[in-house]
Amino acid sequence: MDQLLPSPGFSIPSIGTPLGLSGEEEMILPSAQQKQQQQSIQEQQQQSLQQQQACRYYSSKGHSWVSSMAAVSPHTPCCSPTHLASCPRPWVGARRWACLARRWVPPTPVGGPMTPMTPHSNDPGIVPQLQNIVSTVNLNCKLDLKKIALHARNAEYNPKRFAAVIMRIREPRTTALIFSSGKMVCTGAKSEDDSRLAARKYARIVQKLGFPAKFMEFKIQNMVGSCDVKFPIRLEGLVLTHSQFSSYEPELFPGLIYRMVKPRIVLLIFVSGKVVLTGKTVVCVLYLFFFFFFYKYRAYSVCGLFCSFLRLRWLALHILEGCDVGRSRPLVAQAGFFIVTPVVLGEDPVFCDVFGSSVRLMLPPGVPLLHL
Amino acid sequence: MTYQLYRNTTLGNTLQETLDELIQFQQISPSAALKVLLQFDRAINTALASKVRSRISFKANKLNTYRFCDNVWTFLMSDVEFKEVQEFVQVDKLKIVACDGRGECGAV
Repeated sequence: MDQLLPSPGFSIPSIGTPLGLSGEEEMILPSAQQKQQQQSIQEQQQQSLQQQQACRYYSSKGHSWVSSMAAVSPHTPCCSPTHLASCPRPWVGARRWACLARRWVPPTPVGGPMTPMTPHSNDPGIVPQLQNIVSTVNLNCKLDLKKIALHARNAEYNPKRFAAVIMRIREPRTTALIFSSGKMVCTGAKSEDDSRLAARKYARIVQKLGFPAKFMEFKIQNMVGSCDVKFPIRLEGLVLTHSQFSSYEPELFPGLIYRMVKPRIVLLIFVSGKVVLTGKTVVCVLYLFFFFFFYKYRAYSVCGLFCSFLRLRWLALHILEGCDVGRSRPLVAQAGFFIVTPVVLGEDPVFCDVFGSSVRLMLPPGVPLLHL
Repeated sequence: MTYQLYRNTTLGNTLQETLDELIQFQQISPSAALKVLLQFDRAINTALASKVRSRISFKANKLNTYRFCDNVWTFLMSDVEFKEVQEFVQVDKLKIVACDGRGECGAV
């Protein structure tokens, strides 16, 4: 902590200020501090109301409480002055925030359509693309595979190699494995509706060939999506912090295999920043946000992979928990579940440590920052 | 194991018609005709496998259907272009029946 820049004369809207959190409090003018405290009390009242609203909003919409929380200040109701005074120093803020965030858990959504919400900020929201969906269906009748292979178009049947007919259709572009028991596996669809439609088409083909095919117990077995977080990831760091979830053998496979417990999803994370997700749950959309939270006097940065889908909010917590905040960096911005408009700090972009890799942090001009 | 695949070719069909004619005029017996056809199968298989050296390649615009059953591939293609060294043959519809065995294929 070499130099301490003076505190900003203005207050940034939608961003709260920590109470008694900074070690540089001694450096602040008492009059400014008083003013700040008054402001934060007001904000606290506001924010508790807003949080209730956010809760309600969340439960009604089904998910994506991120955007709703964007308007709320970063403090949870438990951030009373006394509580904060006894809080650990800010540079362990990452873990503290994770704990706080964990304590305030959004209520589970009642249900309803899990439509993804667009974030309010101009942060890049990364949407994973569904690449493949595997589903099964029971046609509920014994099938003569040779007859199917002879009469159906685009079918392969090599009983010596595999005991099923491999059939393909063009629209939706899928492949089906049809077994003599009447069970069928449908792969290659890019969406769940496509998978169901394709399975229906195959069942129709089998029906037309003279078999009494039904469409029973259609179930999606697996979904694969891929996305790009657009920044390099230090896999070694990740495996150190999340050793119980990650397995990384660079000699065997260049990607880190992250097995998330809740929801049961396996992610293949690569150094380039590309991520492959696979799992049974309805994980269609994963929003990756960078949340930069700017304290009045200091800024910390923890990059959280944040999931706007309800079940994937745990992913963000997983990462935040273990993220190693680089103390040696001149600037560390605190991340939370809140969006702060990223802007440019003069001409000097600041680098911060995120997952062990450096990420350029752009901050607003004229906004002074305290260097640690 | 020789395939009777080549009986349905121009050569094979002509042979079969000739044999049928001969049987009609009772110049040969049906069993003799059958023996001829079997010999034809053997001869054509070995000839195609060993004596034929020229190469031809083709490219189709669309593979309409494919089938694989009893180790036999059947392809139906449209808008095909056959290319030899300098010759081109265009075909609207093409059916390929391919059998497995010693790496040889039969085209119809």
